Amino acid sequence: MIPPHRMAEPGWAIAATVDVTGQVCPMTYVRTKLKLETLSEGEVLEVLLKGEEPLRNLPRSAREEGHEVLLIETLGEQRSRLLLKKGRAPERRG
Amino acid sequence: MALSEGDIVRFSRQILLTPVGGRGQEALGAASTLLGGAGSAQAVAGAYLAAGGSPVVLRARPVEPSEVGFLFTAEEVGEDAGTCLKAALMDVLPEGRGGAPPVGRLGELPAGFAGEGPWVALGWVPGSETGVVVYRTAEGCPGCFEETAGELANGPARAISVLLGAAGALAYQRLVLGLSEPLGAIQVSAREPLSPWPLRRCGGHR
Repeated sequence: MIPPHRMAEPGWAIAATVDVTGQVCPMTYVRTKLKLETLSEGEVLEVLLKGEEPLRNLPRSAREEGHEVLLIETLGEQRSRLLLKKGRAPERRG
Repeated sequence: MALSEGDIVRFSRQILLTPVGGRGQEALGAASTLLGGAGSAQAVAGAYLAAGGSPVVLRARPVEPSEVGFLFTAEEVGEDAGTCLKAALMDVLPEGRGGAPPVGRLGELPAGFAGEGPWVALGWVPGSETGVVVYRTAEGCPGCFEETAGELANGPARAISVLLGAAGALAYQRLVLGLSEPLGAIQVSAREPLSPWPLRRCGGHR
């Protein structure tokens, strides 16, 4: 059965989920960043987080690295959910 | 080599850097480095590389008096430098790393360079307080590297050796991360900011 919150965004297929509710900053974005690296450009990552600090920091860090924040959703009990669309990876020399 | 949970926690601040990330940290961990020559700048560079996650290896040789003060003590002069370095770096790069043959070379001149690279040479402009870092990837001309490094000399340990070693480690890491041109050199001095050092060209590139 599809969880109710996943039915709200037709067209946004979630490629992976990372739960950082048990982490403190900056490990919240470290874990998120490592998971994003496993995805291809354009794929969507679901991030489950807890607290105000990650809710403030994580979207900003993701945007700074070229990813798109598709959704920020509060779930209650200080929990939130983000959907991030992976941006283009930086080019490196050969 | 995939990052362990310990690696992720230990190198979290470095992983956060946009040019590094998890893939970059894995690349640094795979870039085992053979330290060549001898000197305080080389010891500093080895410490920074190890702290950044790259295993460092020293050939069997005694600790030189010029290396005392940072990673080596006066009591260790004459002792095997590899054993002493391993003990000194235990806190920054735990046991169990390395084992694979080194892929890169970092040496304080005079030092020999072999293999594909990356190569980083640390030396001094003769008779001056200016240090130079010469570097190349596998794509950079080894002849031009050796021509440029060939003009440099060894020097006594001095405070600026720490800056030279740190700059050398940074140059090496940038090579591993694919952030650097294939061949280059920078000068390091107490009075000037880091700036390019002119390359000398080999017979094939004049």
